[in-house]
Amino acid sequence: MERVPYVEGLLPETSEIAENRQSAWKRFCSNPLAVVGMVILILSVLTAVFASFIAPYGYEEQNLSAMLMPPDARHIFGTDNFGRDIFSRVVYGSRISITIGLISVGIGCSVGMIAGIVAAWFGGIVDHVVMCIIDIMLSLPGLMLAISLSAALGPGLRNAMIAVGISSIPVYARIVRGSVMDVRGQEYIEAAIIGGADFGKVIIRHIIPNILAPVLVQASAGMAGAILTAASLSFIGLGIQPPTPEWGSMIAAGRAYMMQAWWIVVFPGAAIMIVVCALNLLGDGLRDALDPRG
Amino acid sequence: MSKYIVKRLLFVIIAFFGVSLLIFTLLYFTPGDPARMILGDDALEEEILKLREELGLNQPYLKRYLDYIWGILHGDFGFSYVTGRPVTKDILARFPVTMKLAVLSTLVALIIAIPLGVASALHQNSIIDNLARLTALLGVSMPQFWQAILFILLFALKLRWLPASGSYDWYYWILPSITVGIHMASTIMRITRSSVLETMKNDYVMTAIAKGTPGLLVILRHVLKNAMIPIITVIGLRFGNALSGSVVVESIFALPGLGKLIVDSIKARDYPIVQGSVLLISVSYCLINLLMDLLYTFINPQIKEQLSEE
Repeated sequence: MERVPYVEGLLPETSEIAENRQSAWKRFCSNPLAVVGMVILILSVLTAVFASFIAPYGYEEQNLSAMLMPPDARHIFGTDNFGRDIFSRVVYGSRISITIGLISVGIGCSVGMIAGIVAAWFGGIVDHVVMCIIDIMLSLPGLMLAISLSAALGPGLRNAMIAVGISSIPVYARIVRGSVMDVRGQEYIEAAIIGGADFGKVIIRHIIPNILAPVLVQASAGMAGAILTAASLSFIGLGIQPPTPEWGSMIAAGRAYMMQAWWIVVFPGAAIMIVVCALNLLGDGLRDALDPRG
Repeated sequence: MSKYIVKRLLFVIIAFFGVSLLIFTLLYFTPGDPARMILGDDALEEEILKLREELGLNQPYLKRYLDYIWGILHGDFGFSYVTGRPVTKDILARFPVTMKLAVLSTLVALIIAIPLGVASALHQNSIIDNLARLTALLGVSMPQFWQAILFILLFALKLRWLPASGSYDWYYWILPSITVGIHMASTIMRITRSSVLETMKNDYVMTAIAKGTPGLLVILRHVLKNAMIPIITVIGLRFGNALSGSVVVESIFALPGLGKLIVDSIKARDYPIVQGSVLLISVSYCLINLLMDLLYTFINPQIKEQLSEE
């Protein structure tokens, strides 16, 4: 008997969400910029997956008779000081940047969501302590936290992902906490609790589907930020080290030759810009589609 | 009102301890023995042990942190592992450069962002609007270090209008502050646009226009003044980006600020300098945001009223 209010409260909500999702997808598709962003992103992912088929040369393949060659038919982005083909390196570099973006957003998002849900759900002292830690992390401006973490963890792809991931936790935690607070007082949640659903079930079935929209928007903008941060870390010599074809470290290495060979620094940077731009467009499109009021 | 200020100040103090603990802990667990680093590879084992004792490196973690904090409260950030000079002196000498860059960049950002944002909102979906939004999008999507390098390639190496590095005269600051400023401008412009659009929907703006108030006056007195509130918060937050953006930008333009110091010290594993610089930047960031919050309450009488009622 006590399950009645639970079902009653739930049914209209789920159908409303499903309806909302359909119209959100329609709204997203009618936004040309968002679609452009998504197409560019899909192309970048395909480039990363099929890098070995697309790149005409290996990323470490040196040709000492063709050093610092300007772009031409054989090397469309030119070559660097070791005679390596910049185009091939940029293509392989997409693997690294997209991996970093996905994994660090995964770390930041999952830890941040747990922190935000715990803070909002339990409230009181738990909320105070969690949010105090989050606020302390936020009082280190942007890159600083990632730089400190990266300096402590040491160089390398894995550590860079961890550093960027951890430094993005606070943003997700704050968003999730806010959204859970909004949802928490809703009748259907109370109904679910009265109906005997336990904490985990309420979180998974009722809270998470309802806070997914803001998290998704943040995750796509956050992936853009993560790629930029990781590139900056590599640029200043933390994070990923040469000869790995990471875009930021390619620019750092090319700086010494930029007087003679502008192409070494220009193309990897353009690649970062295009991918980040696509993610930002996607994020904006998702926000407009999921939150028609905003 | 005063309760609110006290609460915010209290947070700055908590943040100071929290950040110092965080940074200290991170660098505490960083591999590498400072004593071995200071003395070099061919030092004798006894010498290293002696120096470890002298530097207090054998003390337990908590004792070392408390000593460190106690020192900072007395203006002592420890000694550089590389030069042996006091950290306080080095970071205080560099601090004004970073602040100057952050303030100049903020000014550049405001000069670009506010007029563009207002124009963009007033002519919604026009060419100006679309161009401004595209510029803002590119601004946030370009890595700052890459933008700096492009500026150097174009304005210093190709056109030879401006110097590529150094800080000898005022014009040395143009490229660095525009680099950081453009990045900041992008977000400030976006928030200005949406805030102005939101404010324009209010009845009092309609009333002002209906009364026959000249257009510019309506914008300045009624729209912008009210739209400023979210903009100010964003400026405060973006100031932090200017501070951390200084890390890459200062290194590229060879400006002797904290950012360049941090990068150089990380490479040299000179952790006392890194700790001190990061702490100083984060405290100034917190203080700037506190200032912005106070300004925010000062500008918005509604909030002031609410707070004093509480």
